[in-house]
Amino acid sequence: MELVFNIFINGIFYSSILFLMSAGLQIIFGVLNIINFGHAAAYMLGLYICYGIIGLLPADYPALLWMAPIGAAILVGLLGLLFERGILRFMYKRDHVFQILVTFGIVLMVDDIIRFYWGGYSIGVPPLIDSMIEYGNIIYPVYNLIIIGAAAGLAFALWFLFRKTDIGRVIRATSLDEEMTEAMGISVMRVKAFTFLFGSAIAGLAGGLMLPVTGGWPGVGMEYLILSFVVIAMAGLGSVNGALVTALIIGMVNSLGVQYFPKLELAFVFILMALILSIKPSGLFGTHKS
Amino acid sequence: MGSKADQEVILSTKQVTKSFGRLMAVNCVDMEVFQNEVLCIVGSNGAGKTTLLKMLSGGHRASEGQIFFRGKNVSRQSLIQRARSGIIYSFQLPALFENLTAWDNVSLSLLIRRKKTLVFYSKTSRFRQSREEARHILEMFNVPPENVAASLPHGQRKLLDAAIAFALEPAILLLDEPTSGVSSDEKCEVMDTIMPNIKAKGTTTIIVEHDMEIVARYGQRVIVMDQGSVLAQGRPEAVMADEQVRTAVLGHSPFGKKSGN
Amino acid sequence: MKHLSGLSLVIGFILICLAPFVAGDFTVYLLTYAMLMAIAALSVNLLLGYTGLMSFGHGMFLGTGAYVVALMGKYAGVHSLELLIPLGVLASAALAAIVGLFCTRQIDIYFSMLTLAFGELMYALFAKFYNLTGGTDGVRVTTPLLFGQPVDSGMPYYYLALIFFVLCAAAMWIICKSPFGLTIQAVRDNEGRVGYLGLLVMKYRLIAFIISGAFTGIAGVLLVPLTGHAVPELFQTITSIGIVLMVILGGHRSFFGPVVGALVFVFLQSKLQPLFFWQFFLGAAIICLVIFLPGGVLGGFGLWARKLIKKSS
Repeated sequence: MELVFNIFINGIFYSSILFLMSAGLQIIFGVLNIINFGHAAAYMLGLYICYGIIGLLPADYPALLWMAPIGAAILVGLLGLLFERGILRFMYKRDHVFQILVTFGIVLMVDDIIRFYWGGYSIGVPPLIDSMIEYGNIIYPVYNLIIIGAAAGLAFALWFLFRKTDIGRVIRATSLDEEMTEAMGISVMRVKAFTFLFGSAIAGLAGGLMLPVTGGWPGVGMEYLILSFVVIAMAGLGSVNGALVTALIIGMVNSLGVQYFPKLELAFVFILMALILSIKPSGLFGTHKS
Repeated sequence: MGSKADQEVILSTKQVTKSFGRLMAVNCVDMEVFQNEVLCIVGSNGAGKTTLLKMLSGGHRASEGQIFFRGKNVSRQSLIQRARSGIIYSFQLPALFENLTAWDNVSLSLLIRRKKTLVFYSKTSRFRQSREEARHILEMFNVPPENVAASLPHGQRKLLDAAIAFALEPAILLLDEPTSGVSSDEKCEVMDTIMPNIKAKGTTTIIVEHDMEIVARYGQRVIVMDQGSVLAQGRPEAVMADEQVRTAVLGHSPFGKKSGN
Repeated sequence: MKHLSGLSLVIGFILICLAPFVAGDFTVYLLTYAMLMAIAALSVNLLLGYTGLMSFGHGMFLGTGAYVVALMGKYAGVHSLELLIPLGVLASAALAAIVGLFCTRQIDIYFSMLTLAFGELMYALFAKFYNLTGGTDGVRVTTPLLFGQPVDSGMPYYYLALIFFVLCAAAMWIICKSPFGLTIQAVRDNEGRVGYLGLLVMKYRLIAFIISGAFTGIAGVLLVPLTGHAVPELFQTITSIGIVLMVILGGHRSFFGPVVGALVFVFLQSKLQPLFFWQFFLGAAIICLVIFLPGGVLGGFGLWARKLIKKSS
């Protein structure tokens, strides 16, 4: 019973991180039609900026610590905006593969900037809340539950944004037909910039929240990015709902793998992906032709 | 009917239908195509001509009804299977291999016809043969062989697209508006380049066209489509004398009733 | 124009043949390394330039070749190249067939993402099964044998690499000019039309992927005796992207562009890597190159030469 619960909650926790990462990727792909490798940089920057902010905050007020991940998210969002306006927008008319290369270039640069500024070694902080939930034999850190909560909150917020607000409608319209949206007097450029800012901020938030759990080192973003690729490839590009479902599936498979075949957990995830993609190449929720 | 009774039916459809959601693009069409004939399908924009043609080629799957090719039901066959058995489609908007020369474009068809696409060495006599034949076909179609496809003017692009299909020696050649986008002076030039080759080979051909003049000049038999259904068929002169047909295809005035989009 | 490129090809080849007599040990090492990477870059371009697929996972074939040498040496005591090269080709072709079965159904970014993911999977497997593979420390490799004779590092190995480079480049050149080469270029330009002509597009992509993987495998086999180590980093994305960058750097529109790209990349890397900021420069170089010089060095050179000819005439 205890084991089952542990596998379950670890799976949910892992899914939450994957969803936080892949949701941003999907939104950016939906509007900009770009697979953003830069997401790894955003995650990593979020993590390190959060670390920086925690260092600046006075230690006496633990409640203030929560400003760190939020501040990191905002800053990373703005940096994302800078990247989009400064570099990425020149790439919109180019081949997909070259767009990918550019976003990968920024990952390499950020990697080295972090190494230069914070050093090449691992960093870490204690959890922002170190209390545990105890129920019988089951003990689980409250902080991890907060991350799960954040992912669930994001899923709800995205649903609300896309289905119930004008901003969401504009974003959806842009992803369906840019020319039409432009003709209706909406600046597609602005929508793209906002989307990139928003997507990067989510990745920054994910990084900031994960700092106390995993710590950080240069290159930490790539590992999560690759798993997010698996999520979005399995879900079908651009589908946020799909990302939620597949993140849950992969989180669970991974959690089971870690428990029973600790060396092969990645292999299981990939075999699952391979199976699904060989049955439906466009992914579970995808619509593209291939 | 303009066909002779002794001619063999090579392709036929039974109640073939294509719907996109609520829109019936093609509605219960019965038609027959005879060996070696040049059949024209006319109709105004949105009459369902291209959709019908794509269903024959396998580019669209028929929603209902059957398509028979040489007596065999091919409705469920894929595009590739049908192309292999000789139903070849040529595009209205030229679909070329843009970075390759016209010569390469046509050579590919010959290699496919001879099943030599999995050969990894170019100095074979078969390859040289294919190259020479490709050059010959391009001469017949009046396209300069050394030019890169992307650099050709529109008229030659249309010709090249037809040449690619023709080079496969199709059992049925489906030409989708070979003169669309070409200026009215050049229309006959394009057709006069394509048709002698088809006649010489005796290739069974279906041409989709909305220019009645072209149809009258080059078609042996005509099928008139309107709003997804067959309105009339027969010899061009007979069909075109029909007042109903003239209305459907040409319209009496620019403000007259138009079907589809 | 044609004479110009032919001439530069001949001059370049003569220079490469004579290089070990004038250059120092380290330069010879770098040249050897660059030629092996050039084999990999040419195979990546067989996909990118000719088939229109950008692989972000070719490191896995480099790694496969490398570990065939390392593991055969460690566990089976096989050191002779005449056995190791066919084995490396077989192993990487087999891997390419399996991975390609999934990846070549996809196009565009999907293909790139999936190849990347499979490369990382291979990395994870080789890093985790450390009992067998030595984990992240890798496996040491000793001097290989050719027809029973050890091939020492330095000049002998340089010429060995040169011979294989010429053989592989020639083979790929022939493939690119062959009916199959024409077919994959047609797939690159317009896969829809290829289907209308009755060819199964995926089959040709898969075969191109297997060929490309096999050639990269040869590069992997020859790479480890040079560096002395088979390390799992070979499988990683950074290696794969490095090869792609060589291709883009040299120019993916010309057959020999990747070779120039590999040379430039390897020498730049050797100068910049000791500096703290190698990755930063690499990233900045990628971005600048893609934005400002999409045709690569050779493409840019060709443009410049054409302008010069126009001016003088």
